[in-house]
Amino acid sequence: MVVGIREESSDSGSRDLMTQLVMMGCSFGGSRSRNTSPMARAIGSRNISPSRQKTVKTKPRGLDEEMIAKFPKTPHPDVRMEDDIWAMLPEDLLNEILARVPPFMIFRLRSVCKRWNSILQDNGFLKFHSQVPSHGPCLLTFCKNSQSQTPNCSVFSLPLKQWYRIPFTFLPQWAFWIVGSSGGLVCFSGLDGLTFRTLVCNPLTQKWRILPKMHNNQQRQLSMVVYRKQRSFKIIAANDLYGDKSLPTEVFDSNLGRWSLHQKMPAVNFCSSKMAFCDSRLYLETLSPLGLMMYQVDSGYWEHIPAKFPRSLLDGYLVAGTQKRLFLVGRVGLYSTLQSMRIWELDHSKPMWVEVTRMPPRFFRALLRLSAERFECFGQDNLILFTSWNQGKGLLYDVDKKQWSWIAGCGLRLHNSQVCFYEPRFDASIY
Amino acid sequence: MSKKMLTFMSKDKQQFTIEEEFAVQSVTIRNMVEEDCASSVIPLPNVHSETLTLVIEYLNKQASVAENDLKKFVDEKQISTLLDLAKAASYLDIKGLMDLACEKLADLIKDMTVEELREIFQIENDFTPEEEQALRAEFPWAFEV
Repeated sequence: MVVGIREESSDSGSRDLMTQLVMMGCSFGGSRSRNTSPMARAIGSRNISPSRQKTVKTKPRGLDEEMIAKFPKTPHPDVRMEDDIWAMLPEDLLNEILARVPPFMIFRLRSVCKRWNSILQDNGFLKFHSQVPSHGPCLLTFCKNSQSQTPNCSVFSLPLKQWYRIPFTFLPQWAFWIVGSSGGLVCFSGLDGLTFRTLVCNPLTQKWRILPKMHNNQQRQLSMVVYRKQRSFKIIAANDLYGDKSLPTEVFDSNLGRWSLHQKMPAVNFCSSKMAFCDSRLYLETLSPLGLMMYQVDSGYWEHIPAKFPRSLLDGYLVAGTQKRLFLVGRVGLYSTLQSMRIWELDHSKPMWVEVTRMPPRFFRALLRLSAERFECFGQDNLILFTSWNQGKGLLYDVDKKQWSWIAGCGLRLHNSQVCFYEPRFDASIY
Repeated sequence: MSKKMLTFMSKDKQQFTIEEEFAVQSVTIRNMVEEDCASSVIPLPNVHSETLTLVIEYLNKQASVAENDLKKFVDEKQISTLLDLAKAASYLDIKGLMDLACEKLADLIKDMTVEELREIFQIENDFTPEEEQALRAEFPWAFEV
Protein backbone atom coordinates (compact mmCIF):
# COMPACT_ATOMS: atom_id res chain seq x y z
CA MET A 1 0.00 0.00 0.00
CA VAL A 2 1.49 3.24 -1.00
CA VAL A 3 0.20 6.41 0.40
CA GLY A 4 1.84 9.57 -0.63
CA ILE A 5 1.54 12.31 -3.10
CA ARG A 6 2.68 11.64 -6.59
CA GLU A 7 2.41 14.00 -9.42
CA GLU A 8 0.20 12.50 -12.05
CA SER A 9 -1.75 13.93 -14.89
CA SER A 10 -5.39 14.01 -14.20
CA ASP A 11 -8.00 12.98 -16.76
CA SER A 12 -10.28 15.91 -16.23
CA GLY A 13 -9.07 19.16 -17.56
CA SER A 14 -10.02 21.26 -14.56
CA ARG A 15 -8.20 21.04 -11.28
CA ASP A 16 -10.35 21.91 -8.33
CA LEU A 17 -9.01 23.72 -5.31
CA MET A 18 -8.33 20.61 -3.29
CA THR A 19 -6.24 18.98 -5.96
CA GLN A 20 -4.30 22.15 -6.42
CA LEU A 21 -3.48 22.35 -2.75
CA VAL A 22 -2.39 18.77 -2.82
CA MET A 23 -0.15 19.33 -5.80
CA MET A 24 1.54 22.15 -3.99
CA GLY A 25 2.93 19.47 -1.77
CA CYS A 26 1.36 20.37 1.50
CA SER A 27 -0.85 17.98 3.33
CA PHE A 28 -3.57 19.61 5.31
CA GLY A 29 -2.21 21.22 8.37
CA GLY A 30 1.18 22.46 7.47
CA SER A 31 4.30 20.80 6.28
CA ARG A 32 7.48 20.09 8.11
CA SER A 33 10.44 18.16 6.98
CA ARG A 34 10.82 15.14 9.12
CA ASN A 35 13.79 14.31 11.21
CA THR A 36 15.23 11.50 9.19
CA SER A 37 18.63 10.70 7.98
CA PRO A 38 19.16 9.77 4.35
CA MET A 39 20.05 6.29 5.52
CA ALA A 40 16.62 5.78 7.05
CA ARG A 41 14.97 6.70 3.81
CA ALA A 42 17.15 4.35 1.89
CA ILE A 43 16.00 1.44 3.99
CA GLY A 44 12.51 1.78 2.57
CA SER A 45 9.98 -0.72 3.73
CA ARG A 46 11.05 -2.90 6.57
CA ASN A 47 9.34 -5.87 7.99
CA ILE A 48 9.27 -6.13 11.75
CA SER A 49 7.64 -9.42 12.52
CA PRO A 50 6.32 -10.31 15.94
CA SER A 51 8.87 -13.09 16.08
CA ARG A 52 11.44 -10.55 17.18
CA GLN A 53 10.44 -11.14 20.74
CA LYS A 54 13.80 -10.77 22.35
CA THR A 55 15.36 -7.94 24.25
CA VAL A 56 17.67 -5.85 22.22
CA LYS A 57 20.49 -4.02 23.87
CA THR A 58 21.19 -0.61 22.55
CA LYS A 59 24.74 -0.01 21.49
CA PRO A 60 26.91 0.98 24.37
CA ARG A 61 27.44 4.66 23.89
CA GLY A 62 28.40 5.46 27.39
CA LEU A 63 24.87 4.98 28.66
CA ASP A 64 23.78 2.80 31.58
CA GLU A 65 22.81 -0.78 31.24
CA GLU A 66 19.27 0.22 32.09
CA MET A 67 18.76 1.30 28.53
CA ILE A 68 17.54 -1.95 27.20
CA ALA A 69 14.98 -1.90 24.49
CA LYS A 70 12.29 -4.37 25.22
CA PHE A 71 9.39 -5.38 23.13
CA PRO A 72 6.07 -5.07 24.88
CA LYS A 73 4.18 -8.09 26.11
CA THR A 74 1.62 -8.03 23.32
CA PRO A 75 3.39 -8.48 20.01
CA HIS A 76 3.01 -5.61 17.63
CA PRO A 77 1.16 -6.39 14.47
CA ASP A 78 3.33 -6.37 11.37
CA VAL A 79 4.21 -2.81 10.69
CA ARG A 80 5.50 -2.16 7.28
CA MET A 81 7.57 0.93 7.27
CA GLU A 82 6.51 2.78 4.25
CA ASP A 83 8.75 5.73 3.87
CA ASP A 84 6.04 7.95 2.57
CA ILE A 85 3.60 7.46 5.44
CA TRP A 86 5.93 8.81 7.99
CA ALA A 87 7.33 11.44 5.74
CA MET A 88 3.99 13.15 5.59
CA LEU A 89 3.13 13.11 9.29
CA PRO A 90 2.04 16.71 9.73
CA GLU A 91 2.93 18.57 12.88
CA ASP A 92 -0.60 19.12 14.04
CA LEU A 93 -1.42 15.44 13.65
CA LEU A 94 1.57 14.60 15.83
CA ASN A 95 0.27 17.13 18.34
CA GLU A 96 -3.16 15.53 18.30
CA ILE A 97 -1.67 12.14 19.04
CA LEU A 98 0.77 13.32 21.70
CA ALA A 99 -1.92 15.37 23.42
CA ARG A 100 -3.81 12.19 24.14
CA VAL A 101 -0.90 10.45 25.81
CA PRO A 102 -1.37 10.24 29.60
CA PRO A 103 0.49 13.03 31.39
CA PHE A 104 3.14 10.87 33.05
CA MET A 105 4.16 9.28 29.80
CA ILE A 106 4.91 12.63 28.27
CA PHE A 107 8.15 12.88 30.17
CA ARG A 108 9.53 9.74 28.65
CA LEU A 109 8.61 10.82 25.16
CA ARG A 110 10.73 13.92 25.50
CA SER A 111 13.88 11.86 25.10
CA VAL A 112 12.87 10.52 21.68
CA CYS A 113 14.41 13.38 19.76
CA LYS A 114 14.93 17.12 19.95
CA ARG A 115 11.81 17.90 17.96
CA TRP A 116 9.59 15.90 20.29
CA ASN A 117 11.39 17.39 23.29
CA SER A 118 10.57 20.87 22.12
CA ILE A 119 6.96 20.09 21.18
CA LEU A 120 6.28 18.45 24.53
CA GLN A 121 7.51 21.45 26.49
CA ASP A 122 5.79 24.04 24.43
CA ASN A 123 3.20 25.96 26.44
CA GLY A 124 0.72 25.85 23.61
CA PHE A 125 0.99 22.09 23.48
CA LEU A 126 0.66 21.68 27.24
CA LYS A 127 -2.44 23.81 27.22
CA PHE A 128 -3.85 21.70 24.40
CA HIS A 129 -2.96 18.57 26.33
CA SER A 130 -4.84 19.83 29.37
CA GLN A 131 -7.94 20.35 27.31
CA VAL A 132 -8.15 16.74 26.19
CA PRO A 133 -10.50 14.83 28.50
CA SER A 134 -8.73 13.36 31.48
CA HIS A 135 -7.48 9.79 31.39
CA GLY A 136 -9.17 8.95 34.59
CA PRO A 137 -8.65 9.41 38.29
CA CYS A 138 -5.31 9.01 40.01
CA LEU A 139 -4.46 8.50 43.63
CA LEU A 140 -1.72 10.36 45.39
CA THR A 141 -0.17 8.69 48.41
CA PHE A 142 2.03 10.53 50.82
CA CYS A 143 3.90 8.91 53.64
CA LYS A 144 6.08 10.76 56.07
CA ASN A 145 6.67 9.33 59.45
CA SER A 146 8.62 12.06 61.10
CA GLN A 147 9.91 15.52 60.41
CA SER A 148 13.31 14.35 59.34
CA GLN A 149 12.24 11.60 57.01
CA THR A 150 12.13 12.21 53.27
CA PRO A 151 8.58 11.67 52.20
CA ASN A 152 7.55 8.74 50.11
CA CYS A 153 5.17 9.92 47.42
CA SER A 154 3.60 8.00 44.64
CA VAL A 155 0.82 8.50 42.18
CA PHE A 156 -1.30 5.61 41.03
CA SER A 157 -3.22 5.90 37.80
CA LEU A 158 -6.44 3.92 38.09
CA PRO A 159 -7.07 3.38 34.39
CA LEU A 160 -3.44 2.55 33.61
CA LYS A 161 -2.97 0.54 36.80
CA GLN A 162 0.47 1.95 37.21
CA TRP A 163 2.49 3.62 39.95
CA TYR A 164 4.64 6.64 39.32
CA ARG A 165 7.07 7.83 41.95
CA ILE A 166 7.01 11.49 41.17
CA PRO A 167 9.63 13.34 43.14
CA PHE A 168 8.51 15.75 45.80
CA THR A 169 12.02 16.80 46.71
CA PHE A 170 10.99 20.41 46.74
CA LEU A 171 8.83 19.84 49.82
CA PRO A 172 10.24 21.54 52.90
CA GLN A 173 10.78 19.44 56.00
CA TRP A 174 7.75 20.80 57.73
CA ALA A 175 5.24 19.67 55.09
CA PHE A 176 3.56 16.86 56.93
CA TRP A 177 -0.07 16.64 55.96
CA ILE A 178 -1.86 16.60 52.65
CA VAL A 179 -4.70 19.06 52.84
CA GLY A 180 -6.14 17.85 49.59
CA SER A 181 -5.90 17.95 45.87
CA SER A 182 -8.12 19.54 43.33
CA GLY A 183 -7.80 20.58 39.71
CA GLY A 184 -4.21 19.37 39.48
CA LEU A 185 -2.93 21.23 42.54
CA VAL A 186 -1.91 19.61 45.80
CA CYS A 187 -1.88 21.44 49.11
CA PHE A 188 0.32 20.50 52.06
CA SER A 189 0.38 21.85 55.59
CA GLY A 190 2.67 21.50 58.52
CA LEU A 191 4.31 23.12 61.47
CA ASP A 192 7.44 25.06 60.69
CA GLY A 193 8.73 25.38 64.20
CA LEU A 194 5.73 26.95 65.87
CA THR A 195 4.24 28.45 62.75
CA PHE A 196 1.47 26.65 60.95
CA ARG A 197 2.17 26.91 57.23
CA THR A 198 0.67 25.84 53.96
CA LEU A 199 2.14 25.07 50.57
CA VAL A 200 0.60 24.60 47.15
CA CYS A 201 2.21 22.72 44.29
CA ASN A 202 1.64 21.13 40.91
CA PRO A 203 3.48 17.80 41.05
CA LEU A 204 3.53 17.45 37.30
CA THR A 205 5.31 20.70 36.59
CA GLN A 206 7.18 20.55 39.91
CA LYS A 207 6.24 24.16 40.61
CA TRP A 208 5.48 25.03 44.18
CA ARG A 209 4.88 27.94 46.45
CA ILE A 210 4.65 28.53 50.18
CA LEU A 211 1.60 30.56 51.08
CA PRO A 212 1.69 33.51 53.45
CA LYS A 213 0.93 32.91 57.11
CA MET A 214 -2.61 33.01 58.37
CA HIS A 215 -3.82 35.73 60.67
CA ASN A 216 -4.14 33.32 63.55
CA ASN A 217 -1.33 30.92 63.99
CA GLN A 218 -3.23 27.77 64.82
CA GLN A 219 -3.27 24.30 63.39
CA ARG A 220 -6.47 24.25 61.42
CA GLN A 221 -8.57 21.92 59.35
CA LEU A 222 -8.05 23.08 55.80
CA SER A 223 -9.90 22.57 52.61
CA MET A 224 -8.77 23.51 49.12
CA VAL A 225 -10.93 24.33 46.16
CA VAL A 226 -9.67 25.09 42.67
CA TYR A 227 -11.59 27.14 40.16
CA ARG A 228 -10.20 25.81 36.91
CA LYS A 229 -11.89 28.22 34.55
CA GLN A 230 -10.87 31.26 36.54
CA ARG A 231 -7.43 29.74 37.13
CA SER A 232 -7.56 30.51 40.81
CA PHE A 233 -7.90 28.64 44.06
CA LYS A 234 -9.02 29.16 47.61
CA ILE A 235 -8.02 27.55 50.87
CA ILE A 236 -10.47 27.59 53.70
CA ALA A 237 -9.41 27.23 57.31
CA ALA A 238 -12.45 26.35 59.29
CA ASN A 239 -12.11 24.84 62.70
CA ASP A 240 -8.95 24.57 64.69
CA LEU A 241 -7.85 21.11 65.59
CA TYR A 242 -7.55 21.50 69.30
CA GLY A 243 -10.65 23.56 69.25
CA ASP A 244 -11.34 24.99 72.61
CA LYS A 245 -11.71 28.47 71.31
CA SER A 246 -13.35 29.14 68.05
CA LEU A 247 -11.42 31.27 65.61
CA PRO A 248 -12.66 33.31 62.70
CA THR A 249 -12.77 31.36 59.48
CA GLU A 250 -9.89 32.33 57.24
CA VAL A 251 -9.87 32.08 53.49
CA PHE A 252 -6.88 32.38 51.20
CA ASP A 253 -7.76 33.67 47.77
CA SER A 254 -5.08 33.19 45.14
CA ASN A 255 -6.43 36.19 43.25
CA LEU A 256 -5.71 38.43 46.23
CA GLY A 257 -2.64 36.58 47.42
CA ARG A 258 -3.61 36.79 51.07
CA TRP A 259 -5.79 35.42 53.80
CA SER A 260 -8.95 37.20 54.84
CA LEU A 261 -10.97 36.86 58.00
CA HIS A 262 -14.58 35.83 58.06
CA GLN A 263 -17.30 34.79 60.43
CA LYS A 264 -16.43 32.48 63.27
CA MET A 265 -18.10 29.14 63.09
CA PRO A 266 -21.06 29.25 65.46
CA ALA A 267 -20.37 27.65 68.77
CA VAL A 268 -20.14 23.91 68.64
CA ASN A 269 -18.21 21.83 71.04
CA PHE A 270 -16.48 19.38 68.81
CA CYS A 271 -15.98 19.16 65.13
CA SER A 272 -14.99 16.10 63.29
CA SER A 273 -12.30 16.33 60.70
CA LYS A 274 -14.80 15.40 58.06
CA MET A 275 -15.30 18.10 55.50
CA ALA A 276 -16.36 18.28 51.91
CA PHE A 277 -16.52 21.11 49.45
CA CYS A 278 -19.10 21.32 46.72
CA ASP A 279 -20.94 24.02 44.87
CA SER A 280 -18.98 26.84 46.54
CA ARG A 281 -19.95 25.54 49.95
CA LEU A 282 -17.86 23.88 52.59
CA TYR A 283 -19.71 21.25 54.55
CA LEU A 284 -18.44 20.26 57.92
CA GLU A 285 -19.62 17.64 60.32
CA THR A 286 -20.00 18.55 63.94
CA LEU A 287 -19.85 15.87 66.56
CA SER A 288 -21.41 17.40 69.57
CA PRO A 289 -24.14 17.72 68.63
CA LEU A 290 -23.99 15.52 65.54
CA GLY A 291 -24.92 17.79 62.71
CA LEU A 292 -24.00 19.53 59.53
CA MET A 293 -22.61 23.01 59.18
CA MET A 294 -22.22 24.78 55.89
CA TYR A 295 -19.93 27.65 55.02
CA GLN A 296 -20.76 29.80 52.05
CA VAL A 297 -17.47 30.91 50.56
CA ASP A 298 -18.98 33.71 48.55
CA SER A 299 -20.79 35.39 51.40
CA GLY A 300 -18.46 34.29 54.20
CA TYR A 301 -21.20 33.03 56.47
CA TRP A 302 -21.95 29.82 58.28
CA GLU A 303 -25.29 28.16 58.32
CA HIS A 304 -26.58 25.14 60.14
CA ILE A 305 -28.19 22.50 57.95
CA PRO A 306 -30.87 20.77 59.99
CA ALA A 307 -30.59 17.38 58.32
CA LYS A 308 -30.96 14.60 60.81
CA PHE A 309 -28.12 12.14 60.78
CA PRO A 310 -28.89 8.43 60.63
CA ARG A 311 -29.17 6.70 63.96
CA SER A 312 -26.32 4.53 65.17
CA LEU A 313 -23.93 6.09 62.71
CA LEU A 314 -20.46 5.09 63.77
CA ASP A 315 -18.40 7.24 61.47
CA GLY A 316 -19.59 9.83 59.08
CA TYR A 317 -17.45 10.76 56.14
CA LEU A 318 -18.55 13.64 54.00
CA VAL A 319 -17.81 13.27 50.31
CA ALA A 320 -18.52 15.82 47.63
CA GLY A 321 -19.82 14.65 44.31
CA THR A 322 -20.25 16.47 41.05
CA GLN A 323 -22.25 19.66 40.93
CA LYS A 324 -24.24 19.98 44.12
CA ARG A 325 -24.17 16.39 45.29
CA LEU A 326 -23.07 15.69 48.83
CA PHE A 327 -22.67 12.19 50.25
CA LEU A 328 -22.45 10.86 53.76
CA VAL A 329 -20.65 7.57 54.19
CA GLY A 330 -20.35 5.47 57.27
CA ARG A 331 -21.02 2.34 59.22
CA VAL A 332 -24.28 1.81 60.95
CA GLY A 333 -25.02 -0.68 63.66
CA LEU A 334 -23.54 -1.04 67.06
CA TYR A 335 -23.18 -4.79 66.96
CA SER A 336 -20.51 -6.10 64.65
CA THR A 337 -22.67 -8.82 63.20
CA LEU A 338 -25.31 -6.37 62.11
CA GLN A 339 -23.08 -3.67 60.76
CA SER A 340 -23.32 -2.34 57.27
CA MET A 341 -21.59 0.41 55.36
CA ARG A 342 -24.01 2.82 53.82
CA ILE A 343 -24.00 5.84 51.58
CA TRP A 344 -26.53 8.63 51.83
CA GLU A 345 -27.03 11.65 49.67
CA LEU A 346 -28.22 14.99 50.93
CA ASP A 347 -31.52 16.12 49.56
CA HIS A 348 -30.90 19.84 49.78
CA SER A 349 -34.52 20.81 49.48
CA LYS A 350 -35.79 19.02 52.58
CA PRO A 351 -32.95 18.84 53.91
CA MET A 352 -32.61 15.18 54.54
CA TRP A 353 -30.14 12.34 54.16
CA VAL A 354 -31.49 9.78 51.72
CA GLU A 355 -29.92 6.36 51.55
CA VAL A 356 -28.30 5.70 48.19
CA THR A 357 -26.79 2.29 48.62
CA ARG A 358 -25.23 -0.19 51.00
CA MET A 359 -21.91 -1.91 50.56
CA PRO A 360 -22.54 -5.55 49.68
CA PRO A 361 -21.59 -7.74 52.66
CA ARG A 362 -18.85 -9.61 50.81
CA PHE A 363 -17.03 -6.38 50.09
CA PHE A 364 -17.58 -5.16 53.61
CA ARG A 365 -16.12 -8.33 55.08
CA ALA A 366 -13.18 -8.27 52.69
CA LEU A 367 -12.43 -4.63 53.36
CA LEU A 368 -12.74 -4.66 57.10
CA ARG A 369 -11.85 -7.97 58.57
CA LEU A 370 -12.64 -6.73 61.99
CA SER A 371 -15.49 -4.41 62.55
CA ALA A 372 -13.31 -2.04 64.45
CA GLU A 373 -10.75 -1.81 61.71
CA ARG A 374 -9.90 1.63 60.54
CA PHE A 375 -10.69 2.76 57.11
CA GLU A 376 -10.55 5.99 55.20
CA CYS A 377 -13.11 7.26 52.80
CA PHE A 378 -12.88 10.08 50.33
CA GLY A 379 -14.10 10.85 46.90
CA GLN A 380 -14.26 12.98 43.83
CA ASP A 381 -16.53 13.24 40.79
CA ASN A 382 -19.05 10.72 42.06
CA LEU A 383 -16.39 8.17 42.86
CA ILE A 384 -16.06 7.10 46.46
CA LEU A 385 -12.96 5.28 47.58
CA PHE A 386 -12.62 3.15 50.69
CA THR A 387 -9.16 2.28 51.85
CA SER A 388 -8.41 -0.15 54.59
CA TRP A 389 -5.47 0.87 56.71
CA ASN A 390 -4.29 -2.52 57.72
CA GLN A 391 -4.84 -4.41 54.55
CA GLY A 392 -3.87 -1.81 52.06
CA LYS A 393 -6.85 -2.50 49.86
CA GLY A 394 -8.88 -0.01 47.89
CA LEU A 395 -12.56 -0.37 47.11
CA LEU A 396 -14.18 1.99 44.67
CA TYR A 397 -17.86 2.83 44.36
CA ASP A 398 -19.05 4.57 41.22
CA VAL A 399 -22.21 6.40 42.19
CA ASP A 400 -23.37 6.94 38.63
CA LYS A 401 -22.78 3.39 37.45
CA LYS A 402 -23.74 1.91 40.81
CA GLN A 403 -20.72 -0.33 40.66
CA TRP A 404 -18.40 -1.60 43.35
CA SER A 405 -14.92 -2.64 42.33
CA TRP A 406 -11.54 -3.30 43.86
CA ILE A 407 -8.75 -1.13 42.67
CA ALA A 408 -6.66 -3.46 40.62
CA GLY A 409 -2.95 -3.58 40.38
CA CYS A 410 -2.09 -1.22 43.13
CA GLY A 411 -1.35 -3.14 46.33
CA LEU A 412 -2.02 0.09 48.09
CA ARG A 413 0.83 0.95 50.35
CA LEU A 414 -1.36 2.43 52.92
CA HIS A 415 0.30 1.83 56.18
CA ASN A 416 0.70 5.27 57.57
CA SER A 417 0.01 6.94 54.26
CA GLN A 418 -2.30 9.76 53.46
CA VAL A 419 -4.20 9.24 50.26
CA CYS A 420 -6.27 11.49 48.09
CA PHE A 421 -7.55 11.69 44.56
CA TYR A 422 -5.32 13.62 42.22
CA GLU A 423 -5.84 14.80 38.70
CA PRO A 424 -2.53 15.37 36.93
CA ARG A 425 -2.75 18.53 34.87
CA PHE A 426 -0.08 20.57 33.18
CA ASP A 427 -2.13 23.72 33.26
CA ALA A 428 -2.80 23.92 37.00
CA SER A 429 -1.26 27.17 38.12
CA ILE A 430 0.01 27.79 41.61
CA TYR A 431 -0.64 31.51 41.32
CA MET B 1 -37.69 9.85 -2.80
CA SER B 2 -34.19 8.60 -3.36
CA LYS B 3 -31.45 9.79 -1.07
CA LYS B 4 -28.85 12.10 -2.43
CA MET B 5 -25.60 10.26 -3.04
CA LEU B 6 -22.11 11.59 -3.35
CA THR B 7 -19.24 9.97 -5.17
CA PHE B 8 -15.64 10.05 -4.01
CA MET B 9 -12.67 9.02 -6.04
CA SER B 10 -9.67 7.74 -4.20
CA LYS B 11 -6.07 8.33 -5.09
CA ASP B 12 -5.91 5.04 -6.95
CA LYS B 13 -8.94 5.99 -9.03
CA GLN B 14 -11.51 3.87 -7.27
CA GLN B 15 -14.97 5.31 -6.85
CA PHE B 16 -17.08 5.12 -3.73
CA THR B 17 -20.62 6.28 -3.15
CA ILE B 18 -22.04 7.47 0.12
CA GLU B 19 -25.26 9.09 1.18
CA GLU B 20 -24.84 12.81 1.42
CA GLU B 21 -26.38 12.92 4.88
CA PHE B 22 -23.56 10.75 6.23
CA ALA B 23 -20.88 12.33 4.12
CA VAL B 24 -21.44 15.80 5.51
CA GLN B 25 -20.02 14.75 8.86
CA SER B 26 -16.87 15.72 7.07
CA VAL B 27 -16.71 19.47 7.35
CA THR B 28 -14.67 19.63 4.19
CA ILE B 29 -17.36 17.80 2.24
CA ARG B 30 -20.07 19.80 3.91
CA ASN B 31 -18.47 23.02 2.74
CA MET B 32 -18.23 21.68 -0.78
CA VAL B 33 -21.89 20.70 -0.76
CA GLU B 34 -22.88 24.11 0.46
CA GLU B 35 -20.81 25.78 -2.17
CA ASP B 36 -22.27 23.49 -4.79
CA CYS B 37 -18.99 21.87 -5.80
CA ALA B 38 -20.08 18.36 -4.96
CA SER B 39 -22.20 17.45 -7.93
CA SER B 40 -19.72 15.44 -9.93
CA VAL B 41 -17.14 13.03 -8.66
CA ILE B 42 -15.11 14.41 -5.75
CA PRO B 43 -11.45 13.54 -6.13
CA LEU B 44 -9.56 12.73 -2.96
CA PRO B 45 -6.03 12.34 -4.23
CA ASN B 46 -4.64 12.19 -0.71
CA VAL B 47 -6.60 9.16 0.31
CA HIS B 48 -5.96 5.63 -0.86
CA SER B 49 -8.92 3.34 -1.50
CA GLU B 50 -8.11 1.09 1.45
CA THR B 51 -8.28 4.03 3.81
CA LEU B 52 -11.28 5.53 2.07
CA THR B 53 -13.17 2.27 2.52
CA LEU B 54 -12.62 2.56 6.25
CA VAL B 55 -13.55 6.23 6.31
CA ILE B 56 -16.80 5.55 4.54
CA GLU B 57 -17.48 2.64 6.86
CA TYR B 58 -17.00 5.00 9.78
CA LEU B 59 -19.25 7.69 8.33
CA ASN B 60 -21.99 5.18 7.72
CA LYS B 61 -21.68 3.58 11.14
CA GLN B 62 -21.41 6.78 13.09
CA ALA B 63 -25.06 7.63 12.86
CA SER B 64 -26.41 4.33 14.05
CA VAL B 65 -23.88 2.77 16.37
CA ALA B 66 -23.34 3.49 20.07
CA GLU B 67 -20.16 5.23 21.12
CA ASN B 68 -18.70 2.20 22.84
CA ASP B 69 -19.16 0.04 19.78
CA LEU B 70 -17.75 2.75 17.61
CA LYS B 71 -14.55 2.61 19.64
CA LYS B 72 -14.08 -0.97 18.50
CA PHE B 73 -13.73 0.37 15.02
CA VAL B 74 -10.11 1.22 15.70
CA ASP B 75 -9.26 -2.00 17.49
CA GLU B 76 -7.00 -4.51 15.79
CA LYS B 77 -5.81 -1.95 13.32
CA GLN B 78 -2.19 -1.59 12.40
CA ILE B 79 -0.36 1.57 13.24
CA SER B 80 0.06 2.43 9.57
CA THR B 81 -3.69 2.07 9.05
CA LEU B 82 -4.43 4.23 12.05
CA LEU B 83 -2.07 6.91 10.85
CA ASP B 84 -3.66 6.87 7.41
CA LEU B 85 -7.07 7.12 9.02
CA ALA B 86 -5.96 10.01 11.17
CA LYS B 87 -4.51 11.84 8.20
CA ALA B 88 -7.63 11.25 6.13
CA ALA B 89 -9.79 12.41 9.03
CA SER B 90 -7.68 15.52 9.35
CA TYR B 91 -7.84 16.18 5.61
CA LEU B 92 -11.59 15.65 5.50
CA ASP B 93 -12.11 17.33 8.87
CA ILE B 94 -14.05 14.53 10.56
CA LYS B 95 -13.56 15.23 14.23
CA GLY B 96 -15.01 11.98 15.58
CA LEU B 97 -12.77 9.80 13.45
CA MET B 98 -9.75 11.95 14.21
CA ASP B 99 -10.38 11.59 17.94
CA LEU B 100 -10.78 7.83 17.67
CA ALA B 101 -7.67 7.28 15.59
CA CYS B 102 -5.48 9.63 17.65
CA GLU B 103 -6.65 8.14 20.91
CA LYS B 104 -5.79 4.67 19.73
CA LEU B 105 -2.43 5.82 18.47
CA ALA B 106 -1.69 7.55 21.77
CA ASP B 107 -2.72 4.39 23.54
CA LEU B 108 -0.23 2.38 21.50
CA ILE B 109 2.52 4.95 21.84
CA LYS B 110 2.36 5.14 25.60
CA ASP B 111 3.46 1.55 25.98
CA MET B 112 6.43 1.85 23.70
CA THR B 113 9.94 2.49 24.80
CA VAL B 114 11.89 5.37 23.43
CA GLU B 115 13.87 3.08 21.16
CA GLU B 116 10.73 1.51 19.73
CA LEU B 117 9.23 4.89 19.05
CA ARG B 118 12.30 5.96 17.15
CA GLU B 119 12.08 2.82 15.07
CA ILE B 120 8.39 3.12 14.34
CA PHE B 121 8.49 6.78 13.47
CA GLN B 122 11.89 6.50 11.83
CA ILE B 123 13.26 9.25 13.96
CA GLU B 124 16.94 9.86 14.20
CA ASN B 125 18.14 10.33 17.74
CA ASP B 126 19.73 13.74 17.55
CA PHE B 127 20.68 13.93 21.20
CA THR B 128 24.27 13.43 22.21
CA PRO B 129 24.70 10.66 24.76
CA GLU B 130 25.34 13.29 27.42
CA GLU B 131 22.18 15.20 26.54
CA GLU B 132 20.09 12.06 26.54
CA GLN B 133 21.57 10.97 29.84
CA ALA B 134 20.82 14.36 31.36
CA LEU B 135 17.24 14.26 30.13
CA ARG B 136 16.65 10.81 31.54
CA ALA B 137 18.22 11.85 34.81
CA GLU B 138 15.76 14.69 35.05
CA PHE B 139 12.82 12.30 35.22
CA PRO B 140 14.17 8.96 36.33
CA TRP B 141 10.76 7.92 37.58
CA ALA B 142 9.33 8.11 34.07
CA PHE B 143 11.71 5.40 32.93
CA GLU B 144 11.23 3.12 35.87
CA VAL B 145 8.22 1.44 34.35
